[in-house]
Amino acid sequence: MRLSAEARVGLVVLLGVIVLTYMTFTVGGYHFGRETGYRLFALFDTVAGLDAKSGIKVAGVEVGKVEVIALQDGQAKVTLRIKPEVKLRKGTEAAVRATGLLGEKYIELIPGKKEAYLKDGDSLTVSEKVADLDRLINQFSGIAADIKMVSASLREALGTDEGKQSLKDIVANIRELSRNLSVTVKDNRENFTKAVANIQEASSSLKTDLPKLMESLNRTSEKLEAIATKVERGEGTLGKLIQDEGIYKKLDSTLEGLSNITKKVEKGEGTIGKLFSDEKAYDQITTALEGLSNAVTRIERFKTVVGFRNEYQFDSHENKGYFSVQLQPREDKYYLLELVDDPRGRVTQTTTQIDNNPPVVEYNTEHRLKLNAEFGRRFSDLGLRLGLMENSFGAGADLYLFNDALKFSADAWDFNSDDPLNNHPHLKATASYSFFKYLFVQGGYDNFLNRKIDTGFAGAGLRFEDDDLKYLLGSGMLKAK
Amino acid sequence: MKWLELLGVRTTKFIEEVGQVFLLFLQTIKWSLRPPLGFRNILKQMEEVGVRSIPVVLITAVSTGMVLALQSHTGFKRFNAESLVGTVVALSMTRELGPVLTALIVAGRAGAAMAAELGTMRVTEQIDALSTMAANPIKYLIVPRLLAGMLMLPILTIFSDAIGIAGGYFVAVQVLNVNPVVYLRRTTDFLEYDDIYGGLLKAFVFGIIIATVSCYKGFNTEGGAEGVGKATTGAVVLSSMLILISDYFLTAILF
Amino acid sequence: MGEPMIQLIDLYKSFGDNRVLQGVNLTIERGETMVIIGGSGSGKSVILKHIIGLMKPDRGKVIVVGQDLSTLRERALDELRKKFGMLFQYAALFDSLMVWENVGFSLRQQTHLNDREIKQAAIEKLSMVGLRGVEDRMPADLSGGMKKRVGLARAIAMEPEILLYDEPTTGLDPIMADAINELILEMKRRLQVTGAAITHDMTSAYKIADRIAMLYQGKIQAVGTPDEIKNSSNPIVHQFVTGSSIGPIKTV
Ligand SMILES: Nc1ncnc2c1ncn2[C@@H]1O[C@H](COP(=O)(O)OP(=O)(O)OP(=O)(O)O)[C@@H](O)[C@H]1O
Ligand SMILES: [Mg+2]
Repeated sequence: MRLSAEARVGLVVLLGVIVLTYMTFTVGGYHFGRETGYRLFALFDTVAGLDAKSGIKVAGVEVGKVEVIALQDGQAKVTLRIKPEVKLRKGTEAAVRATGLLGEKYIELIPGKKEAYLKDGDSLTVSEKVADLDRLINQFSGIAADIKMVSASLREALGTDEGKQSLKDIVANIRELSRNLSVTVKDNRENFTKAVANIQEASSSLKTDLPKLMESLNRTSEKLEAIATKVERGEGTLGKLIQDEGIYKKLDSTLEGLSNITKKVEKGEGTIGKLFSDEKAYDQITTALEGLSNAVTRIERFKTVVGFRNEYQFDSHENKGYFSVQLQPREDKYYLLELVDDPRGRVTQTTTQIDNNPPVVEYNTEHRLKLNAEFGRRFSDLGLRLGLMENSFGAGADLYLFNDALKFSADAWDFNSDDPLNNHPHLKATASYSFFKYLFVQGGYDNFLNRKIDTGFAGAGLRFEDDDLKYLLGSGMLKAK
Repeated sequence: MKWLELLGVRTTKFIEEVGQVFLLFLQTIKWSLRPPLGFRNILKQMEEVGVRSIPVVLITAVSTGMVLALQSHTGFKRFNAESLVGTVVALSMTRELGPVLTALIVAGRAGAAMAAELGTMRVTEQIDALSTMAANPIKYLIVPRLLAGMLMLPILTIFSDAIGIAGGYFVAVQVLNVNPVVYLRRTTDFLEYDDIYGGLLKAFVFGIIIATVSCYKGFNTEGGAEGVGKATTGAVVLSSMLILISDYFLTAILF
Repeated sequence: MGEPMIQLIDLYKSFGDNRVLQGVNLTIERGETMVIIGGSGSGKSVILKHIIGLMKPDRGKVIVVGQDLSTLRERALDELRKKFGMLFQYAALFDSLMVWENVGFSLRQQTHLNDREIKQAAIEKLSMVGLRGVEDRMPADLSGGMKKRVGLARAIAMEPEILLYDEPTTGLDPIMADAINELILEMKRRLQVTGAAITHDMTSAYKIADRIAMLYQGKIQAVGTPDEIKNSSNPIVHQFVTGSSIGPIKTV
């Protein structure tokens, strides 16, 4: 049977559509309409390697899929979609696991023992007990490195009489230090308390933390003192080590053995050795380590950005300068402090009325620095700012595009000004574009509600992050030397 | 310095040609928006570009999928991750090899045929004859070919994807003894809609490139039978080059 | 006499270094048949292609029914072309279409006739050029003379106002050639067609022409009625119409 041209083309197109539909429905389990199952949440310190659609297992049996992974306060908030027929008891714990050295990550749930069942929207506790492979590898690598270092440095330190002497000195130093520390803490207790009282007003969390900190400092110094005394008396391992020649010899040979092991490890002998010499495994470990350190730095990082910029105003042919410091405790949150050198200055109004004469109004323009102090939040590509703008209340919004290279900002402040030419709120629209890392150019329109002093402007500026600053200062100092 | 000069001339000519191809594409779009569209002609071209290319596209796809499975298996075996072969085959086919190989084959088959046919029509004054009969040659000759290319390339790519994945599955499961269930899971779990549809979007663009370049070369044929030959090779070379170049940019943009 | 239908004013056309037309002036009036004669490669076909707007002059103007072709946009030009029918020197049949589809091409493009009606009309036109039973063949299966006649049938299919014939009788036997001449005369009589024909065949030229123009070295050397041309004292024209190799026209 011969088909007509129409039939042949039609058949091919139809078959294509069918195959495509089939493929679409097969990949990643497509769902029509609403998702089935219920959702649970879990906050992890790190979920490196976990993806949306990763599996969720109980005792190795798949019970659902990861739906969304989002960042929340420096932690990973994972949304778990659990099949409706699976009932989980309260107290269930979650942990990120891997199926093998190279295997994909999944979430393992350790069922709870409580009576009640988890329901949609509940949160899971994250299990810390189960060491997963990554962490194990991390620990191994840490331990191996430690052993190596300790053995090497101890050998050096203990190998000679000089070394022994210096160890004694160290102990003496510790003792001295701890004594000093405790004296300092005692002497300054009053000051500390005062400072705390001050800070108390600002921060309630610090209020509880600081005394605790002080106490632990105190305790540490006491402990250190005790240890130092013990060591001197030859009590405890370290003390014996220093006092007893026999033990010292033993230790020396033990260290020898340890260093042999580490050498073996380095050469790739034995199981752990293989693990380290295998390129892939090594990469895996480094990425795992990186993930860990990223997670840590993300929490710890307190970014500082320092910058200055100048705006040339087309209408008045004058320059407006800014010096700014941005403190950024978190990726999505910052404080912006800016000094503004505004050619227009600060305009104040004084009304004097003498007797029954009509009041005399005087305007006083002072060339004065103005202050911006703003609090900013980032929501993905959108940023909002609120605070002091040129000495008055103001608010602004930023739209970030192209990896933050392009930024559109709108600002509004000065809602009731004394300045007669500035009787409408001050509105400003800016577009800025960053070249490289440090340099940016900008242009925009300033004060468009106030027809007498509105102006277009163009400008450029520099900005440095703390790493850059360190580098700049460092190289500057080198040159100075 | 002679060769440098030659390089300059060649580059300029290439850029110029790409510009002209693009202008022709715009004109074709313009004409394709003016009804009536010769449905019969479109159908005929769809058969030429699509239906008749199926066997060679399928053979290429299945062998590519099989080779891909065989090769990647050698690597993954060393990590006991044989099932990842499924992922590699599925991703490579849908994102890259499906669309690109299909396009290269269609460029060699249907693109060459288009250039030769239009080239012959040009040198035997048939295109002039069309004009004298108030039938715009772009509308009558290029629009159906462009539409056929745009529609059929994605469809051929769907087949290519499916058959390539099937070929990979066959080799992995039947020859290399990979666990079929795990293989399929690895295929479907890692494959996203974006991979499939991104690949199809590529194919769509390649379809435009093949049709426009081939028609351009055919339309601008000069010098009798020899000219037709040159136009045909030129069409295959230029469209293959543009396919590979644009593939890079499309990949960068889409994925 | 009558109003001018086609005016060529000071046409220049070169292909690279090959200067083909160097100031052609020619007026064809409504209802007349102008025959253009001239040596091989002198640019006769190029003139016809200028008249229908397939080629653009380097300089000069082509005016058809009062409209300057160079000022016309795509669509207006297409409208104007519907008044034309053209027979190409090598027929230029669409070789992907059957003979009847070739003949009926314009009918399909411009009318709402269905396939059966188009085929009927095509068969009728084919019989006018002396062809029968070839409508379902492909052009590749025809002889050169047959192709020529299919081309002619295609040109007259829409019964246009202006017909351009590029060597309508070349490659035909004398009897068939005469039949075609009769057809051309018939078209003129019945439909008041304005015609421009190229031919090397002087018998044919004298028969169909109202006037004859002689192209030589890029210019029209003489225009006149067949009698005037036959008895022309211009040595170039005289040499050409008598077909002598001795005279001012050099063969090498
Ligand atoms: N499209 C073109 N490109 C380049 N040269 C051309 C083109 N068309 C015609 N020519 C050149 O113009 C000249 C005139 O060609 P044309 O076809 O008009 O000759 P002709 O008078 O019709 O000759 P013949 O009687 O042999 O048909 C020739 O030298 C030809 O090479
Ligand atoms: Mg000719």
